[in-house]
Amino acid sequence: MQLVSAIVKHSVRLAVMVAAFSIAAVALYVATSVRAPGSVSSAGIEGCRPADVDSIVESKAVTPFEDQTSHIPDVAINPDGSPSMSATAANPRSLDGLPVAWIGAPRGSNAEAFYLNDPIGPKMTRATFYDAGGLSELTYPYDALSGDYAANLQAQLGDRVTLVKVGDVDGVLTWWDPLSNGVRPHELAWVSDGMVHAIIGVRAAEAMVNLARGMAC
Amino acid sequence: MVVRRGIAPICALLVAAAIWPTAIVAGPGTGNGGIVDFAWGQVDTDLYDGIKGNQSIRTNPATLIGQSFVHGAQVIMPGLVDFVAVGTVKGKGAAGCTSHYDPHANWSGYFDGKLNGVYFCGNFFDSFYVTGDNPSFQILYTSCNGTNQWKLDFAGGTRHCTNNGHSQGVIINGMMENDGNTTDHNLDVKYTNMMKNHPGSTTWSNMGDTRPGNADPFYTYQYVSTTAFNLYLAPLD
Repeated sequence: MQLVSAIVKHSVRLAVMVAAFSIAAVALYVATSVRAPGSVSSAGIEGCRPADVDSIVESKAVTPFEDQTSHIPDVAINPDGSPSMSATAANPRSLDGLPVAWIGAPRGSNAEAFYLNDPIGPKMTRATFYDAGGLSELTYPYDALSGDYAANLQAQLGDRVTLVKVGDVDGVLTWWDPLSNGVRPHELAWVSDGMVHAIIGVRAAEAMVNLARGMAC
Repeated sequence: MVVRRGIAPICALLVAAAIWPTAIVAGPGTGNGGIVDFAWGQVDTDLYDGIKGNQSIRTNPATLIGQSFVHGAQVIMPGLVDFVAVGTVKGKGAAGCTSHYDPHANWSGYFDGKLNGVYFCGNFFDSFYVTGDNPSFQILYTSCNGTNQWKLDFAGGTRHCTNNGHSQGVIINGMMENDGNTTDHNLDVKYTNMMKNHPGSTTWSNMGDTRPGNADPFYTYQYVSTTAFNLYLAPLD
């Protein structure tokens, strides 16, 4: 009888241990798998470490606005004057401490969000938006048949492209040629999960890298 | 001081692969640097991956130092900053392109664009086209040099291929620009065989009525048919 009792006790203890282990394993799995799309584990990855100040050397080449032949209409971001969006429970995103101020109407899998402390009125264009310190976040599908994203852009733009690691992929950092008001944002774009992710704004190159790594890692 | 003026009618194709807030709609608050005269029109809010047609140059204005006259087709990509274009230019060439100030010079072929905010420009057929020529053009996202790219054709040949990941966008049609110099308007271009292509389609469709949505009073858009229109920058004298 004592033998049976001991077996039962051990069985119960074993079952409890197995259950505890299973719960811990599930919790660990969830903790390591629920991340932003395309994000990677940050452990030991160069593309997840903070970039040092003044560590990125960029080309000094630039084409003035008046030396660009075909100009793009510098249209208003929100021409209808629709109420700006604010960070809500349904829309909690922020970037570099700025709340979402406006989101472009999605087209298929494309999306664009504008981050700014102030509302985006009907007169604000992209040039004035970036000049005001705004950041935009652009996402669109990447055509895999167009080849390697970073290598293609580097081949076409030469030293105007600086390759930086964003998570475990090559990110393409560019310093825009001036817009109509002379403003020169940085753009950092990378491909992840079949999508191109890009952030654009007037920030130091290293700051853009850190923002991108914060999103990807 | 660099002064750009005059510019020409364009059949502009803006293919924008992403998000257009409300597409490219003329609205208050638009600004274009020092460019005073600016006109362009939007086909509709659909996404496309191609535009094609012919551009017939019907005037040949004198070139003035520091000015450009451009006829082109254009494709704009996400963020409304990146684009590719192909067409003809005379006078002041953009950075990376040649200049032809000689009044007797002819129109040169050119392509230009922006990729991730960085501008580029190149020439072909320097000082080649004259008044009355009617070269064809096509911008199409398709295979080029082994990968899918924006293929820029002009006068029946491929002049440039490029990509930065975008494969479709919105078409803008009819573009002119002028930096405010007040002399020597009088530009006239006739566009025919104008077609647009939905992404992946093998059947092109007629361009339709694409009158400029944001036109300076000097500009005139003349609708001819669903595949033809004229763009005209009136003389000031």
